[in-house]
Amino acid sequence: MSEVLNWFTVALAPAYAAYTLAALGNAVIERSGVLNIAIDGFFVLSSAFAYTYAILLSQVLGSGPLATYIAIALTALTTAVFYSLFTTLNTALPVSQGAVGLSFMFAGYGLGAVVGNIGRLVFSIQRVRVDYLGVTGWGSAVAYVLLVAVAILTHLLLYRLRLGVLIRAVGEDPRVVSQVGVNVTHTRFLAGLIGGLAVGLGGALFTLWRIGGWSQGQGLNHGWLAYAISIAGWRYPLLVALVSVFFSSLYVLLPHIQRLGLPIEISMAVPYIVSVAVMVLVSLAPRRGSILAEPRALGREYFREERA
Amino acid sequence: MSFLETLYQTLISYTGLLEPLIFLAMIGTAISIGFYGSFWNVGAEGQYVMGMVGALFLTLFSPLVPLFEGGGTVLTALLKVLVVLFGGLLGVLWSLVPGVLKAYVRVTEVPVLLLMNYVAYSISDYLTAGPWKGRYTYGYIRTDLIPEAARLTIIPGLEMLRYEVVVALVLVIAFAYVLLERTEVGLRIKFLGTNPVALRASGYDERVVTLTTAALSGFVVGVAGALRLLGYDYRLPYNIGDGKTGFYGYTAILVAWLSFRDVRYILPSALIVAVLTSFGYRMQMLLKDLLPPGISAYAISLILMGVTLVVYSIFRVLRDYSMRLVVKP
Repeated sequence: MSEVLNWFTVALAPAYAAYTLAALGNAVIERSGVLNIAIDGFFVLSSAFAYTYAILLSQVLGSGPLATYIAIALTALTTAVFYSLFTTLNTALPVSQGAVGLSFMFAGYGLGAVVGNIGRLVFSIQRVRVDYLGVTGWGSAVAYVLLVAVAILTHLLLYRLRLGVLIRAVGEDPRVVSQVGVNVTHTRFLAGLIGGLAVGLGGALFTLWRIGGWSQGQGLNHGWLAYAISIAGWRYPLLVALVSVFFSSLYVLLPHIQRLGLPIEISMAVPYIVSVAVMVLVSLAPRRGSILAEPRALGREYFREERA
Repeated sequence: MSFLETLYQTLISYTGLLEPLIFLAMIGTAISIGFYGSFWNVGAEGQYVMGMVGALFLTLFSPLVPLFEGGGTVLTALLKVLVVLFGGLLGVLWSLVPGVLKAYVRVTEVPVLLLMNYVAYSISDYLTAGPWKGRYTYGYIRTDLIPEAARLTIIPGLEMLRYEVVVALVLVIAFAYVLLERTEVGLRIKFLGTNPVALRASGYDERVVTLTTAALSGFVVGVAGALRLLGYDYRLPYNIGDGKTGFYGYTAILVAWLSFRDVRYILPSALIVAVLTSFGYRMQMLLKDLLPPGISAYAISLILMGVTLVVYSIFRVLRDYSMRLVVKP
């Protein structure tokens, strides 16, 4: 029994928190019709920001949990700003969402390397001590409760609040919605802001709780793992939080799978193969017209005027 | 050495530039074909590695080389062509997976392509450390060298060039130009990228065109990978994802983008990117005492890529639209 408890509170909790938050953020952004292929870049960027903020803040505030928590909040805000820029450009510019997404993804990778290295430079010169979140036991239980609360809040936002209804409407048919007088760009800006907060929180917890440190390229591909979770939950917040238990466990366990007889090189690739398989399976499931259906405007360019 | 001197050194050391220039141009052409048809081929890295794997398999582990060896110039040339085409086929295999998923299951191709890069690295590493581990490697984990007969011919005086690679580059660019500007298949690919509704309306199957785009793009990348193995590396190293591919599959995305999706501008933009990356490495060596240890050429080129893509997108808008600033009273 204690082993099971230990598994849930020590091993799974940090991974579950990071992936679930990023997946929930992705759900909000993609429900607004913006194809979120920049998620991996943003995840890398936010996990770098979290590290650098934590180091800079522990310079000012001294090491302690306060600096860490402020760093997490700042990371979420920074990521939200970048994300709102992303969704706004995606809507305002009549260029393909693939192009904008790729550019933000690569810029995120590169900026992440720069931002994280600034933190590391300060760290090696000033020799500060950084407090990483060592939350276990009851703290983890509280974290689970908070995560479920975030999932419920996201659900309420998308399906009960006026803003959420607008976000989903814009994701279905932006042109019709704009004819009713709704500002599509503004709505997607807000969706990017809210979703970005969640993705940023996920990236921050990935660095400050799950890994407890930073190295160049950290978070690479983990954004895609979160993306796969989001799709496996049909971009429906409550389902996302639920299936994330399974997938986070899988991602935590898979690297140890060589005990089952798989060569180490192949077992490194298993999470990626699983992610692709999930995206395929979910796309195969018929769900047209249901609440779980893919937003119809997802990935489509939005032209305010008709092209000649 | 000053900044200008470094730039000058980068420019005149043309032999060092030629090799990245050629591979960037080849893979950039392949990615351009994909971009035309809205197939965002960010999986060139994986297709490139699979091309290398295919070439190594055919030269080391199939009876092909003994069969053709010592058969004169024509037969060795045929051998190389076969090996390169096989590498291309493995590239197709690797690009068709996301292609089929995009066309028939409506799965966004970008994550699938990126994740498959890592699967390709894993497969290559598994083979290198396992079944294909070499006997004559001085304790290193890597495969044996491919036989002399299959290696490409060095151009005397230009150590970084191979006759076959130059010919292949010319063929690839000519192929892409003719395909996109002169054939109906190319026209359909362009239609798919600009106006899929019209493509469907004129009676073509969007899914088949998507598959064609993916296959053509992957084929050219696979060919580049095979040429790389036959002409330069001669073996597969372990940990191939650790920069041993030169990350050409990623940097070439920048080439495709800089060329404004026009095959005629591939070479100049490949030159720009080749200069930028080698300049980045030189600057890194030059400034290693000034820059933080991790602000690497890798980070700089990634940022460059992102910024270039954003600027490109904005320029395209400015080109396609005329804008007026209207101040409402």
